[in-house]
Amino acid sequence: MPVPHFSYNYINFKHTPVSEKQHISTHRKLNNEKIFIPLFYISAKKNPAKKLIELLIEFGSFFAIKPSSIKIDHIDILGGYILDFDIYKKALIFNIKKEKDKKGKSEGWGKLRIMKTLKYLSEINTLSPFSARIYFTIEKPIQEAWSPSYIKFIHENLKKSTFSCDIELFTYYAKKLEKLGLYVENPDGYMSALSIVAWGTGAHRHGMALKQIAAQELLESIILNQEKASHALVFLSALIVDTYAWLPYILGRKEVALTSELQYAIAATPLRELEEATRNLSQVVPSLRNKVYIRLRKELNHIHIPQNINEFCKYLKQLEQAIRESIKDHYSKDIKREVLIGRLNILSQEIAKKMKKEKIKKILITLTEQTAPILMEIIQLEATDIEETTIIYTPQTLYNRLLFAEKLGNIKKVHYIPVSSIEPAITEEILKKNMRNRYDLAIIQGSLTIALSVLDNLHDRIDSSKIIFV
Amino acid sequence: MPQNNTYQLEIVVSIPSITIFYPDLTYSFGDNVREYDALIIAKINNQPIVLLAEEVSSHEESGKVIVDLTLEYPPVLYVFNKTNDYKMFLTPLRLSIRNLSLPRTIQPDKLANIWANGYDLFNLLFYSLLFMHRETLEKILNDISELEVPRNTNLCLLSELSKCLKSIIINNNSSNNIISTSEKIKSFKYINISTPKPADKIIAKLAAKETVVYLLPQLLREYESSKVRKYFPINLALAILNILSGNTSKLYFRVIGLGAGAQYSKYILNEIKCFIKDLKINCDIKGIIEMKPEAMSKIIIEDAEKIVSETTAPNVLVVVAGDYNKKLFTELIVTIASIFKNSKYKILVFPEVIYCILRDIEKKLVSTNAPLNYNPEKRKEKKVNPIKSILEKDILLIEDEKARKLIKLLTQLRGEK
Repeated sequence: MPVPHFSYNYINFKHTPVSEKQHISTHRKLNNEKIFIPLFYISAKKNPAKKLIELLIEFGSFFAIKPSSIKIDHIDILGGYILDFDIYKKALIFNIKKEKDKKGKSEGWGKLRIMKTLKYLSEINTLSPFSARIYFTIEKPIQEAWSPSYIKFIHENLKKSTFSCDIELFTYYAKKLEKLGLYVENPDGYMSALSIVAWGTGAHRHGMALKQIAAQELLESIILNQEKASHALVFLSALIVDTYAWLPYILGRKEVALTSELQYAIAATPLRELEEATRNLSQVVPSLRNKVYIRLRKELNHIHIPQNINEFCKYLKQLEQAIRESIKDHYSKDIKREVLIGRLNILSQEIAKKMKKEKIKKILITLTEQTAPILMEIIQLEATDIEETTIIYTPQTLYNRLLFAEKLGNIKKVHYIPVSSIEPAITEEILKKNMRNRYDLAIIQGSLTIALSVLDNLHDRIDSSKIIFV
Repeated sequence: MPQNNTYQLEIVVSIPSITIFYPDLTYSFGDNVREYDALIIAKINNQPIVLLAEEVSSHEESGKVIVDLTLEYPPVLYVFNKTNDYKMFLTPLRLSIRNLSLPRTIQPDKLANIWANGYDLFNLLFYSLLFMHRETLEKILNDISELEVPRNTNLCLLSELSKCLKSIIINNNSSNNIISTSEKIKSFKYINISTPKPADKIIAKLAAKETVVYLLPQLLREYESSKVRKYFPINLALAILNILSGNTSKLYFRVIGLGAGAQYSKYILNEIKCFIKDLKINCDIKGIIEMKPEAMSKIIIEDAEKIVSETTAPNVLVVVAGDYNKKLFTELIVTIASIFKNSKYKILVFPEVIYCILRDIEKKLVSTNAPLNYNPEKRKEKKVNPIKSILEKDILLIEDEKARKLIKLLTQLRGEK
């Protein structure tokens, strides 16, 4: 049995036979060292594995790269926090198996290309929101080189220490999470890729927005269709732990405390209240993780597929309440507002108030950095015959606009209007020319410059009782 | 197939100084990701190609190659003229040309006028072009090219450029389109765009014999630890008061502070009071600061009724410094409008961060700027009045009949809650 050894941020490997007892003791020691705190484990085979990788790279690269012809057979991903120079950072450990019957073919996206891309996006590319340490497993000792492709493969990996987590150690943590229920098998690609990218972001404004988007999108599985609700709960738990433990922890670090970008983000202030309580992250995360997941799982028993928007609002409120209670239970401190799905709760209630029996055919929505495509699905609980949707977006909400495009396939006509967020007179001119319809429902949100310009151009185009201005 | 085994590169459009900003960071006052010396639309044996160009002025610029590696490695043609030592440039270059100067379809000083209006959307176009995969780029090019553009010539060029790029990248059949775009860029219509009006000229026009100004400062959390951001509403107020006071016989200035923003508004009010003495501005200044919105309405009404009794029909100017909570904004506007029934209204929203076009620096035309984020004590050190760098495009002004309609709509929205 190989003995896994940790060194700082680098999970080293050395193959020495030891007894099972020694093996467990080593792991116990590792746990005490608090070097790695596991959070979620995903396993996917064949097509779900390929879809997961395709979307993980597309979303993680901010839509810069979309791999095609993915040549992998199987993927396992372990997510957690790793101690690196006295600071916990995100870590994603991949165990990828390549397709067996495609030996020798270098076209397409094989294991090595995927590994290189993930490392590049997460550790080098500054346009990518992704910021997790990327590790790969070592399954077996390096063997005698027998072919040029194998020599190249090993050479590149040894040069860059790409293989850095022993499979025994990986399995140990995977089994631990599996026992806790924090394990997902063959998940929906969109849900899992978006959640992993959102979880794997650094401490920045867009990262916070991505967590909010992903958390809202998970509600599709938890409330709207419930097909993979248990999977969604695992991801939602990870996002909650990240938001209410890792983010306040990182905000309290002097390396981050003085920067302004995240502090000005919508969610920074409520999180600051938890700063002190999260100093000892290795104790906070496992306990919060377990409490949140168990509480949400219980809540799932009380949620049924909603027949109308009011029922959706009821379940959403229940979930929000469950998150707040788990946070309160853990920290003995009430948070002022829930930052992941709280905004959607407010918005859904506003929509519910405006939705009456009239047929809604034309909708206008302004996007904010937190707006997720689930908003359209909520509206469609009542409005089943939408003909046209107008989406107003800015460069700040480009990511949201692209996610909307992924999910709005069932709407006959979608009209996207790009406007400027910091040049309001330009926005006003564009809207004057491009807001041409009469609308049956308008959801106006975001910065006041955009919101007032939209409102200014809505005269005579909508009944004021159909405007949501939040 | 190439003729005689040679390929001919023909540069058709060369737009100088393309500055790329992070789309998610602009209004947080972030610097650019990268500035390229030109965006080139060229033809290789009549087939279109899009390139970026970096005119190398010194071998020290070799570090830019590494920056490009962190940005999806866009296709950058490094151009060395005769005076630059190519031998000293020791990073691998995929694309480079020696002993050449780049042609320019338009000169940077002329281009500055184009960038001066709507750069946020040019940035969206360039960012998508350089850093997004083809399917995504196609979506954004469609969004921009399908926009119905107003008579604003800057937006017309944006539309033309997006159509041209769409034709090259999506349809790959664009030789004629490239030439047409080139002609349009060169045309008199585009290169003679007048400089946008500065904000001070617009504010001056808002002055009336009697004017009431309500300042709504955006909530800045932990303003005490802020070094410069906290001064934004103060400088904005001082600039507005300075301009209006010369043309108004009765000037009322009210600083609104509500809930979590109450303390910050008190601070703003006190600072403004100190400075208007120095500036010898004569106005009736007061804070309307309250923790609870219900109590706030009562104070606004009492104060407004007093102003009404002292005036005939004053102009009401509502100034939002940055952003404001929409529910509170609605509440405040509706309350104010319930008293000043015969007044003309002007609603002005000033974003904190603007795109600034630096006409005197050829190499970096566009930058972000927060011109009012400085300590007002140091205003005398400023060579140029910072309000002058804010242009018409940087502010939202809704006035008179439009403002009245907007207030009517806001009143209906509040009533429906």
